[in-house]
Amino acid sequence: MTTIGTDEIKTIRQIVADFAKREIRPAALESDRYPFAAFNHPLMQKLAENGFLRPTLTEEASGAGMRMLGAVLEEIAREDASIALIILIQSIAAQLRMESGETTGIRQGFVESTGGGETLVALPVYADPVERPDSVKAATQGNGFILNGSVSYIPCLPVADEVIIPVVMQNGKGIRLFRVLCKAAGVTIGDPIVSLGLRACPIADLTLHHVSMPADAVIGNNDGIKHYEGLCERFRGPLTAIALGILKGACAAARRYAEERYQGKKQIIDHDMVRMMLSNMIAWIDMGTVAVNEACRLADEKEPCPPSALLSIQTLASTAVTRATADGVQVLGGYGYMHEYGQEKRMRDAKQLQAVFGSVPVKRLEILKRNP
Amino acid sequence: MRLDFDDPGLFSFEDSFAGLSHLGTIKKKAILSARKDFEAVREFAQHHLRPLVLSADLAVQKDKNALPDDILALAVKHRMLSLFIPGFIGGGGSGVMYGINPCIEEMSSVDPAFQAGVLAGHGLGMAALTVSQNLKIFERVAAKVVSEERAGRPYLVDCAITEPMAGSDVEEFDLLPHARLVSRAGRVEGGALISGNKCFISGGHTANLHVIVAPFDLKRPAETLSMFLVPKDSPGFNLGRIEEKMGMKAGSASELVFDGCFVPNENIVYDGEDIPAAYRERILHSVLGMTRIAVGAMGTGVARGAFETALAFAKTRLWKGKTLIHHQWAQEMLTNMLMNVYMARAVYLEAGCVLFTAVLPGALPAFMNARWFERLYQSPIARRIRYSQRVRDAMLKGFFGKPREDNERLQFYSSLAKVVGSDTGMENCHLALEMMGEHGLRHEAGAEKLFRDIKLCQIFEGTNQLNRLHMFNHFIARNLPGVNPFSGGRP
Repeated sequence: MTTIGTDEIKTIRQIVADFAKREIRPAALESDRYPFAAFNHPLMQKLAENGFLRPTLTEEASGAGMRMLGAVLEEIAREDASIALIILIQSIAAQLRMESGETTGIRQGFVESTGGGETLVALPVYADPVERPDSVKAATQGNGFILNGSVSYIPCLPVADEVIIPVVMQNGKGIRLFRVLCKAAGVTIGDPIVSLGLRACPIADLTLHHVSMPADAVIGNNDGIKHYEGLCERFRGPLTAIALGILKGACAAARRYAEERYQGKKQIIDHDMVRMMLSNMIAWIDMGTVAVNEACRLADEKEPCPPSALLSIQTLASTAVTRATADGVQVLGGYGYMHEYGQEKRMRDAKQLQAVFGSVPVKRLEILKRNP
Repeated sequence: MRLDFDDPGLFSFEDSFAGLSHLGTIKKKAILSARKDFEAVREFAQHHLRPLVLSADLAVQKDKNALPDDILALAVKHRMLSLFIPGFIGGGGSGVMYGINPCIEEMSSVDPAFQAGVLAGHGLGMAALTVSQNLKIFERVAAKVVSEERAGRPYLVDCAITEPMAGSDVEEFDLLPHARLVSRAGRVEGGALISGNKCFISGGHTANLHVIVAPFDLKRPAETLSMFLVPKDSPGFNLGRIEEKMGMKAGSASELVFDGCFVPNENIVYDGEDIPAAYRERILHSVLGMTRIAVGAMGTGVARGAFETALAFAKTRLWKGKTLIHHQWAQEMLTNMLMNVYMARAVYLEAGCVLFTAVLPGALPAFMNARWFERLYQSPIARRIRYSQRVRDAMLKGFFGKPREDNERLQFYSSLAKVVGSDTGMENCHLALEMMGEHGLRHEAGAEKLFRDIKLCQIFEGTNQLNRLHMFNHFIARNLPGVNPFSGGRP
């Protein structure tokens, strides 16, 4: 396994930043209108071709690069956080499969190419990895299983070929992870759900009615769900990098506007109250940069780390970014409220992101629980 | 014992206890009237408006040019547009204004987009006409609102002040001299010609009549700022684009484009150069004094809507075997949200007491509701008298000649209500979404819409930053000569 050095990360950052400006920025505002505008399928293709769709699986990373993933997600999130979330989800799914011992078809996608086009996986990442509702049940049938139940609010589901969900095994045999083909008989995918932010990452509800699954639809061994919980923990760093990227984009836009807009007999950046808002945004960026680096490093180095460190960093940083991006809109005044300027999208995206891996109060209470 | 006006650092009894100072003047019948108005709006908002709110927002998400015709038709049917126009002008009001801000809170708790995007644009226009002291024009417009409503049609006005390069600069009298305005009026035979652009005008695309604020001389905007009526479809006037906004989608934020638009003399509400210099500041201050308190009520309504949405969620969502409402952390969050509502409401009610002392009576004398008064008021001789220049001058003096400290107090309290109401609404929306997790992010839950809607309340009617400087200027620095937050800079 290669260790990724800071120089490699710097290079990757620059490559991704250039790609994002060229390929993601021009489409961001239109894609944000989903489901009333099309999902950007061609972009998924371009991401895959450049190795950005599952960057943890590149030759260099070999499945170990949380810092590298953090850098990729941050640069993408500066232009469109929705795309960063899609990449995060694909990365978690890929990591899950790889660490569960699967080797075939991972680099190309999970379903052998169905006539071209990149395939996506859906994963219910808005649910708390531990406090999940767990309402899908599996009954044994021959060598396979019959699944019944529903899972709500799954990102990527409207555009995915398969979805990975936790399933409660009958007769108290624990909770396992299943991958379910979206086109399988008995699978109902609801209409795309109109949401607050990260809208270019489509979301839908899933219902399973007597869905027949073969034995190999189960991912991993009996420890499947515990493995998933641990994996989500490691990905909190890269997730927080998305929040950081959103804030960097918001701060840059606010600063540019404040340097040009003239009210009150000066450029508004010369008003202390505006300076204070920009300063606070930069302060959170400074702290967030250190926190994200540390969160990714702790995950990469797999040493024992403070039990709630990653959770605390995600919770505090994502909450701070929701308030800071609201200030980002405030600096732009009336223009901040207009879709065309891209700033209100960042405020919505930050708030949407705050709910990934569960609601904030539940996350906060968990912090104490981990520190007996 | 030192009297408090000897010490510029201390605030007087009237400065500090606005409600207490005003309570003695409020009649019981007026409160009953206010209560009736509130109940009418509650009935409309909860039973008739509520079912349409989410689909109105979605319709505009699908097509930014969609207009809230069905909500407007409903408002007309329930006589919402004439609720506060006094009976002797033909409306459904009893001359009592005490209920107006509670009504705004109630409407905003169900749909801030309808309140702020449609009704408030109309309210701003009507407020501007009220403040103008041009009774002839005000009554003409009010009568039209009422008669159209009776015929089943909405008749709305808007108020166009903001321009692409002039936002904060037109919301603050001290900044007006340096505002980079583009729209201007020119004097011609029989009236004026208007050219230029206005932007972000609330309700522009549903207004039947536009109240335009523009100067005759771009180099002297403060002295020549005047007010004009432009009916829709006037030659030389066109509606431009509708902005695509974060929220408040039911109301259009419109561009108005003027290209040699002729305004006849009878549609010139006032010419700035006819207004005594001492009153010019008071015109802006009186309008903002009313409308900023209204925004405070809007924000409080949103804070309440967010609380109610979170409460409904907590009553049904299970977590660890029991519904959230049984978990102490949820009880705390909900209580904090309700505390926020009550704090914000207390502020706008106090501000209302200042408004009803400094600018408008909270209740007109009861005899004005009598049929004989209406007949007398509408008689030709009564009209001739009150439309005369003498009466106009007396009204201007009565309205704008009030003591300086009354106005300073109103400026502080109205900005206070605006900032507190909007900030509180924003915070409660943050909390509601945090409590509701993934469910709150779904459009159908109604919570994320409130979050998108409320942000505008921190920005329009002067940003909360500008409003803080306004408060500082009028209340903290009023006795500090030389301390002026709006001095300095490069004009």
